[in-house]
Order: sequence, then C-alpha cells, then structure tokens
Amino acid sequence: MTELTWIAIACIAVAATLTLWFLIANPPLNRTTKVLLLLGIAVFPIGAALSTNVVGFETTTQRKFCGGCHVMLPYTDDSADLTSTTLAARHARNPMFGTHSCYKCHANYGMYATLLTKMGGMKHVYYYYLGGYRKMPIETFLAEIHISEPMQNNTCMQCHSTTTPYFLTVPDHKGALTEIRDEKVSCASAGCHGPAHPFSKKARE
Amino acid sequence: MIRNLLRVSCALTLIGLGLCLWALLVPQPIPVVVSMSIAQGIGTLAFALYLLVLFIDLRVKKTLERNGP
Repeated sequence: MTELTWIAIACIAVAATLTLWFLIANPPLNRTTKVLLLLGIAVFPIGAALSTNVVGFETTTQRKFCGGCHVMLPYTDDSADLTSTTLAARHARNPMFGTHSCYKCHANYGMYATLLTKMGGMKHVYYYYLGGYRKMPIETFLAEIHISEPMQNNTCMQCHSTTTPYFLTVPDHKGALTEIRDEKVSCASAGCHGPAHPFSKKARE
Repeated sequence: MIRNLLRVSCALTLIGLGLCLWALLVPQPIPVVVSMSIAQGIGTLAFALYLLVLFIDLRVKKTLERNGP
C-alpha cells in the first residue's frame, strides 16, 4: 500500500467516525455539531475521494489490474515471464515499463491520451462483465478476440525516435522510414518486431 | 426534518466511503470503477443534502430575525 492509500484510509476512518457519531449519539444540532458534520460529510470525504481517485487511477495502470480479468492472464503472465522473449516481455523487464508495462504500450498517445485510454478501458470492462467475455474460456478468447485498435507506432516512437544514427543503420528502418512514421507499417507487425504477445492478432477491419 | 436530512446525508456518506474503501482493499476492475463513479455520485448527493440543510437553517434564522423575538 502506498502513502496515499493510507491517507485515503485515514480520511475514510475520520469521516466514518464523525458520521457514525451523529447517527448513533444523536447530539443536539448546535454549531459544534454542524462544524463536525461539515468535516464528516464534506472535508474528509472530499479528501478520501481525491486520494481514492489518484490511487484508483494508479491501480488501473498496473499489470496486475489488467490481469484481474481472467482472459488477460496469458498476456500478463507472458509479460511478467523472465524467460519469455516476446516484445512485451522484453519491454516489461525494462524498469521504465516494469509493472506498468501494459499501460505504457497500450495507452493512447496525445493531448487527451489519458482520457481516451480510460474511455477505451471502460469499453473493455463493459465487454468483460456484460459482453460475455467473463464466462468465456481462455482458449476460446485467445482464438477469437482481436486487439480493438491497431498498435500505434507513435507509442513506440516515444522512446525509439526513429532519428538516431543506430536506428537508421538498419536497412529496413531506412527503407520504410516514411511508412513507419505515417503508421502504414507497424513496428509490432510479424515481419518487423512483433507480434508483441505470443497470441497477438491484427485488429479487425 | 433537518435532523432527518442530516441523517440521510450521513448514511449516504457512509455508503460512499464504504465503496471507496472497497476499491482500496480490493483493487479489481469493478470496485475501482464503482469507487470512481457511483461512490462519487453518492458522496456529492450527501454533500448537497448538507448544503440544503445549511440553506434551510439560514432561511429559518433570517425569518426569525425579521419577525423579532
């Protein structure tokens, strides 16, 4: 648990104590009671809500969270596998990715990226709980399900700028430079550096 | 009426706080989504009720002051 989690728990505890005190002790409605209720209904709950939101957002970027849906376990297990040589696993061993490796690669890129990524995440939660994936055997899932959107080269290019001399010494990079930057050739395609996971399939047209 | 409104507000606060605590202790998709959406709504409603109580209280006080002792 992080420090912020403890702060959230402390805010919840204080607010719960004050509200329970009012419900159980039934004190007279004087100024002191109203001020204590302001703390119990507004100040501490707002503190709890803010810290819970930050902790919640941080939680949603963890690989363990992605593996919370059973159909994602083969992907998260592969990423965490120290012996795996897939693109995902090799990146996950980099401390810059670490336990956030799913989010680092699958998050959208751009000004509203965080918001768009979370909206996309909500779509997946909907599919899982209301779209039937929850009861789907992993074998069926791996055979049927495709990535919802093609993997963006922009995500890779946050680190691999495509401009370093080393990058350009690779003939395939040099020959397809425009196509790579224009997203016409995917870095994670089978002929290049992918697929990222052993079970990766292209996005549906 | 004011006391009842405050009791409802307290109860709603407790429900919202409980949902937040659930997400902190069980960091799985449903608890986290619930804490970041439904719990926030419940908490906002509880606070709105508290503000309503304050508003009613101030109006009553003003009326009493206007009418004199």
